[in-house]
Amino acid sequence: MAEAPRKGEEELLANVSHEILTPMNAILGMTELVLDSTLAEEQRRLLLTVRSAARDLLEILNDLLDVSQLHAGKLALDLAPFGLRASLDEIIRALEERARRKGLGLVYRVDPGVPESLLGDAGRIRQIVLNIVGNAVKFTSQGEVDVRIDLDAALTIDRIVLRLTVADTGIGIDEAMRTAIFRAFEQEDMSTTRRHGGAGLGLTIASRLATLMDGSVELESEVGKGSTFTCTFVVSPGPASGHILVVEDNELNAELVEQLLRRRGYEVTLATGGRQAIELLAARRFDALLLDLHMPEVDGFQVVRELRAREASTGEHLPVIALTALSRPSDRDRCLAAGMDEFVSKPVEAIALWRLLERFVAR
Amino acid sequence: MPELTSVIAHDTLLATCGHDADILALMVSGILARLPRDLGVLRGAVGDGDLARIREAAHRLYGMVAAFSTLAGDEASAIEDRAEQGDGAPIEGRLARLEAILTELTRELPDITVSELEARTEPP
Repeated sequence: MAEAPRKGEEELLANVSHEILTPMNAILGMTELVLDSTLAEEQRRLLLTVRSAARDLLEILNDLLDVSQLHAGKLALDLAPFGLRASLDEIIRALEERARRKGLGLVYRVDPGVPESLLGDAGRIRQIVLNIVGNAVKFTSQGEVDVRIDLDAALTIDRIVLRLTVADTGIGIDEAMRTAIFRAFEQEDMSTTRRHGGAGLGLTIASRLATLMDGSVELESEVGKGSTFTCTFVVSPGPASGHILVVEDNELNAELVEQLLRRRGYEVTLATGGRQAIELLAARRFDALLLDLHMPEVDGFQVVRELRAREASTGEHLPVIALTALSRPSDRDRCLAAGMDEFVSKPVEAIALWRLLERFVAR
Repeated sequence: MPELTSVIAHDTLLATCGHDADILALMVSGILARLPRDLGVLRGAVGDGDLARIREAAHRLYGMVAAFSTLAGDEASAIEDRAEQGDGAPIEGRLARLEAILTELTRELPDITVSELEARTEPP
């Protein structure tokens, strides 16, 4: 019963925020229209101020609406395939511009191990990045903000954890405030809010969204030296595409690799020996070749020799990944010297195989 | 009485199936169906003392069992190496050890699940 008034407040907040959004959008839209017309210099200056204030207000309203929906458990993720790098490109450029205007450096890097094609809520991931990086830029007056996105872990073939790390050289956050900073309506103190603006909801929203994506936001900070936010969230690898020729004479391994590749969305053709592989390579186009080296009659080395000899006249290059029980560094060197592009020791790990193919198969 | 140690390489098997129950089931049914035949081929080659066939059969067996059991994979690999080096003397002893491991493996495998593999593996 004690929850009731709180729940009522949240519903009221959600309703009011929603009702205000409609006229706010009208104000912004009409302001844009007037700005497109012929205006005196002073009128334009005043309207630009109106537009800026309206945008700030709209941002706060959207944040309020998000917080109330997150509190009420009503915010659902909208999952769809997306490209992480392309999806973040625009907001990172906007944040770089914001940092540049303050004389700050902004370093941004996505680890090559992060798959390009993902399945998740791109809009909410952008919101997390915008809120955490935006917060770092806002509370840093000199130095730089370092933004990294890495593959934290591959949980299963359907779930991977991404880690966003944002390190700044800003004002830092003392121990007492490190929990409060993730609670709505609390900023470090009112003077901070007055100096930097905003309703203090960004980190609360980022934290709640990360939780919704089975992740979290952690904070390490030293007052006067800066803060490091580490946010994890779970996404799925997006569907892959491409036609892979798998050459493997061991039935069980062939079946396993075929299933692993089909689960990721690849089209697969199986060959059970080197001779059959050479015939298929001459007859059809593939995007990659997974090649067992040890096969009776025609082995993997001979397949690659014939393939590369034919490619010499066409200028093409089919990525070839050796699948082998050999595991010494000298075995890898021998494969690369023979014209193969990469080398995987058996038993082949599902996720490692996918990551490798993602590197080689053109998107 | 000491606790019996599993011959299953839990972390390797988990990584190979990608934590996927369907793929694990495919792997388990595949090895249980093919193991008697492939082990029989190796046994026959050892009985004939044919090192070329021993090498081939041991290599084939390694390719199949290494994802399930490091112990079994090591024994199969050692037999392949000995055959390649023309050293047939230790092969019968190795084969006996391999057969014992594979007997235990085929006893354990039907009950294995992704949850059990995860429970017995260090988190990523």
